[in-house]
Amino acid sequence: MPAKSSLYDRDFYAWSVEQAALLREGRVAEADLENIAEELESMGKAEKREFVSRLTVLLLHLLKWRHQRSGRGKSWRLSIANARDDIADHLEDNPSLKAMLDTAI
Amino acid sequence: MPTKSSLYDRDFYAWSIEQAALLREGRVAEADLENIAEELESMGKAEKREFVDCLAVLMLHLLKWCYQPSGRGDSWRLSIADARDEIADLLADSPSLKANLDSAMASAYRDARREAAIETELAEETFPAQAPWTFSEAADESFWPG
Repeated sequence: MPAKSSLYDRDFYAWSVEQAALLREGRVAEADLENIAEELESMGKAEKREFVSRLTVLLLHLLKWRHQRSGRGKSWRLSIANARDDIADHLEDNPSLKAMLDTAI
Repeated sequence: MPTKSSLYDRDFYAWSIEQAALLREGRVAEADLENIAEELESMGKAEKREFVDCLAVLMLHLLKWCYQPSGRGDSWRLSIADARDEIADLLADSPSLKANLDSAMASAYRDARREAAIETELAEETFPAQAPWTFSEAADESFWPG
């Protein structure tokens, strides 16, 4: 259905407002389900990427801690604690990301 | 349907994958349409906010350009050009953002004025209470006020 998709390509803001209204009004048959699915997948991927990037930050600080002993101090300790908190918060919102821990690391 | 929504609250990642799959398989009746609508609205709002933020950055730099001419240079010129590019890109993706241009300009200018006062260390009253430029002027590549 070209008309549905073309608004998605032409005007993302107008599309998102329109699709939300269609779903809220129960007019599902008129909605652009394929592109909505696409957006949902993008959101999922973004959560995963965010998780990997938070893990990267933690691992980086841990590596520095281990290999650059002279730099150890409150500031590094704080960075590590903050990175751990960020990861815990993210896993609380997305517990299923735990299943990917090995690949993520 | 409590079970649909509860996955949304409990595990956003799992929810997004599941909902995308349900829509792709045509199992719309099982999908959590209310929360999908919520997410679509959030995306729209985020797009609008980003537009206002970019406008605010542009007007901040234009205010500094006008009121602190001693700082003019390539770096400020680049900041202004970058902000204009970002605005043009956002409008290319979402031309309908232009529909609320007046309110976007007003709230962006309010932020820009406050920030300009801090960065220039001038009193906020130094700067006009309302945006001294139209959107078209501010966004115009060849517009260098003052």
